[in-house]
Amino acid sequence: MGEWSFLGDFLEKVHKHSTVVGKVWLTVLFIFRMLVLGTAAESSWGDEQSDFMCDTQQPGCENVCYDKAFPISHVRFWVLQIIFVSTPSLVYMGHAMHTVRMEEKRKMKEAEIEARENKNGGDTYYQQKCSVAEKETKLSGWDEAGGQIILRGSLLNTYVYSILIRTAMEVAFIVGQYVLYGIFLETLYICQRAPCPHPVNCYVSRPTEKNVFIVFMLAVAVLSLFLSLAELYHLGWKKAKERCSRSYKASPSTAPGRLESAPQAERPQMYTPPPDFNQCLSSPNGKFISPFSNKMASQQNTANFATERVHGQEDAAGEGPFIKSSYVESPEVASECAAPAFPENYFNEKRRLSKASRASSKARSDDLSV
Amino acid sequence: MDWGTLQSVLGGVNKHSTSIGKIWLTVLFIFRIMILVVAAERVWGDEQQDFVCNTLQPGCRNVCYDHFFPISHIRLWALQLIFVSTPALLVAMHVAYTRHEKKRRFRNGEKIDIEELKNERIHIRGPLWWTYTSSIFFRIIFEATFMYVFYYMYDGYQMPRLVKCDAWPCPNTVDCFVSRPTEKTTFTIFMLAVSGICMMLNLAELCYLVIKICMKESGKAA
Repeated sequence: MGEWSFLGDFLEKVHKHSTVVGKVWLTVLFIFRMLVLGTAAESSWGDEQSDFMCDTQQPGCENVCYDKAFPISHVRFWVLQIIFVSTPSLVYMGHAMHTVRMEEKRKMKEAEIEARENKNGGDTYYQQKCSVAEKETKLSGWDEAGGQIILRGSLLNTYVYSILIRTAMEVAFIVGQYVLYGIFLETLYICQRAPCPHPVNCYVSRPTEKNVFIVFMLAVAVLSLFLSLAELYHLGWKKAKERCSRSYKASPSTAPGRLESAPQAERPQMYTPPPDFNQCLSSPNGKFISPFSNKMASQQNTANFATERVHGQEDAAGEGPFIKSSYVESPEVASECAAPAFPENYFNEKRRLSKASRASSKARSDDLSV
Repeated sequence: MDWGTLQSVLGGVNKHSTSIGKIWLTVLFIFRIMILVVAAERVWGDEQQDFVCNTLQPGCRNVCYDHFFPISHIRLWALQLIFVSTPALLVAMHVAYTRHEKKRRFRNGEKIDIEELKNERIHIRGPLWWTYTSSIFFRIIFEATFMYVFYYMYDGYQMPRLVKCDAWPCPNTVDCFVSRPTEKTTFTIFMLAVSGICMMLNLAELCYLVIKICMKESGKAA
């Protein structure tokens, strides 16, 4: 397995950012394919040419007959299969890492702007903040609070395409194996090729053991295919369901004093920001004023604000229920604001539940949310 | 062959590469080094044992094998991978030198945040840009050279099934049969294709760097 460590290391990273079905697929790949191939199948095919016997004394006849019978050995074929089937996941991983880097760059830019503004000081801080956040194109999926990648937008598309390509590769290799060898290996192979003087009988080494492994690897390939299709179904079904449920609840938002100007029509009650924050910031002339003199508090509110904007946009895009690892709320701040009067269902609905978490609403930190 | 050492060295360079550079490194490790270690070495494993000649003359088989395979494909690929990875070490050395200089300045009393220095992602500008670009240029040269050497040494990229040999001490022209020619041809073409892809990636990276610096210069001038 040491030789597979190059690919294994990359796939470990993919493991972190996959859905549940994706993780199962990766585990199947690691254990039932790579490990079995590296430990068992290699030794079974080890003497494939040295023990390939032909009933002839003609020098070179065995070589050419072996070459005709096995244009590419099963083991090498499976190695190529594993590599090609894993490649789409690596492409998705590249995109995810790119997203993470863009997010880090955005944070750095914000920090720079903040530092500059704090130097100059001034009331226009939040105004500029909002405009920077607004300038950002669709944030394709970084949960600031949880540090987890959320599948949506272009990242979700990449993920879906990677699964589609993976499925296509899997089918291609299964069909290819059938075309090359059929399903089972025969014990006897009759060969007619120069320099063999006549059709000679050639005998394959360990045919039964090889057949066992062939059937096993074929079954695992079919299982992986099934898992890929299940994952596609799971993603597609969720998306379709969300579109349906979105078309039902087209009720306007009742959240008081939201600062963003994004279409409010579809925002559900659950993402109402802490009322004290809004009460502080809403003013008769509608201008954004920062009542907070405390720098840290204002920083945290900035983060909350940006997070809410992100979630607002996300809801508008209709990505539906998902498991978040935490909901960042503004802490104890500014005494100028009135005592917060939370709506009665506020604390209960801080975290949206998904169907999968009926028993407990505790989010699994390593699950990818869709 | 211990490729793990190479992986640890190049992993450090990866941090300071462009995105295309990172893709190149991934392709190198997964599609070349891994294929070489896991698959190709097994295919070429019995190349001399199963090289069969139609003669009883002792020594004829040895001489014919040596004549037709002066250096095995596997060893040639290993050399190619080492040469192609080496220019990246130039970049690693330059980065290490830059860090060393900063540390020296810090010790001499200048105020530099040591934590930031450790984690800093060095941008490809100034002298580092020249080092990086020349490393990519050398990579391209090495790739092309090895692809040509393969073509020249083995008369194309296909492995013949039968070779005719009349080197001394073979008494006459003898037929010699190569082991697993089809499988070897498959892997030769695969490795050739991946070399081509790597070369395209290097060319793309080179163009990207040149265009970036030109735009910066024109931005400054404007």
